[in-house]
Amino acid sequence: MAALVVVSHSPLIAEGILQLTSEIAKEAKVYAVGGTKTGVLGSDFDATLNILNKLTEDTEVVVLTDLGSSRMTAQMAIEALTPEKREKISLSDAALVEGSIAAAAIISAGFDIAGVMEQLEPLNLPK
Amino acid sequence: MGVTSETIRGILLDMALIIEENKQYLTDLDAAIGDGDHGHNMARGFAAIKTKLGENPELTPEGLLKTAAMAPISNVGGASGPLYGTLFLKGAGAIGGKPELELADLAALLREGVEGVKTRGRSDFGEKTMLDVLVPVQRSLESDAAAGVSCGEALAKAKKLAEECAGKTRDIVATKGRASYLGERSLGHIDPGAMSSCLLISTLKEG
Repeated sequence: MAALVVVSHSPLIAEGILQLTSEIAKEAKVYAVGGTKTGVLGSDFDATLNILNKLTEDTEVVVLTDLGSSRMTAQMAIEALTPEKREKISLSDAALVEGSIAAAAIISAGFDIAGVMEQLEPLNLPK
Repeated sequence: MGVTSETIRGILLDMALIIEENKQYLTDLDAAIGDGDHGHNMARGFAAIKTKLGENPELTPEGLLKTAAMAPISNVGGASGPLYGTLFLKGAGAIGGKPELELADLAALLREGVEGVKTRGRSDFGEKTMLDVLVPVQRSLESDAAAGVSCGEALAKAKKLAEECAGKTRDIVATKGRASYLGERSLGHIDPGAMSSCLLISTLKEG
């Protein structure tokens, strides 16, 4: 089953996404990174890279972000991976809350990441 | 003689210094039209560059730029981290293993770096961002390199141009980044990213 990784500026948003998705799709694998390592608002490149590196050993991943700079951080983390691992990841521009709930539900229904990305498309924002 | 590793190291340290000195100014500019953290984010990123350089005494120009790229990416958290990180990282790719850089190499470094920033930030010249300084500076260096202008003269022109261009962002309505939410109300304010780029350009030197 595919996994969802959320990259946010805020640890509280990250926690809130986990709370929401666990309510809607308990069995979906959802991971959320929020805030920087120094505890301020911002996205954490190293934490994002670590989780993507680990998951893509054997799992396809959809990544959702909360703002443009989180998107850039996620993009740079994806670019830092090997090409084989990179291919297992799709970065979505969907609105974070709606997109996370949709992605978790679609993943738990057994869709692959191409299927998830297709269904997230109507939720895309200019990030 | 070109720009040596030692000079590039000196420039990067000067960059860290000028950002630290202007931390509050950049944050104040950002408080007017953004989220008020640009100076502090930049200072954190460039302090990390300084630390990383201290840990790696013998680096080539490419190695120096790659080290300078990773520090803000890992330590900033805001948009300036990935954007300046991309500028350095793509710039490093453009110079390869060259031991010294001529003016044409500096122009190529900035060309690749600026293209990287455009792609990363999904932006271009004229949107009230750092690109409003970096794009004209890159073009100026490129045409001076082609015209055979000396490195010192080209850098002096580039610094003057950077100041003018940063000032001109006052007259641009933001269409990218957080300032774009303000629309017309972003007029009359200098873009903090354009100013941080201007400060960084001001540290360039040939030896």
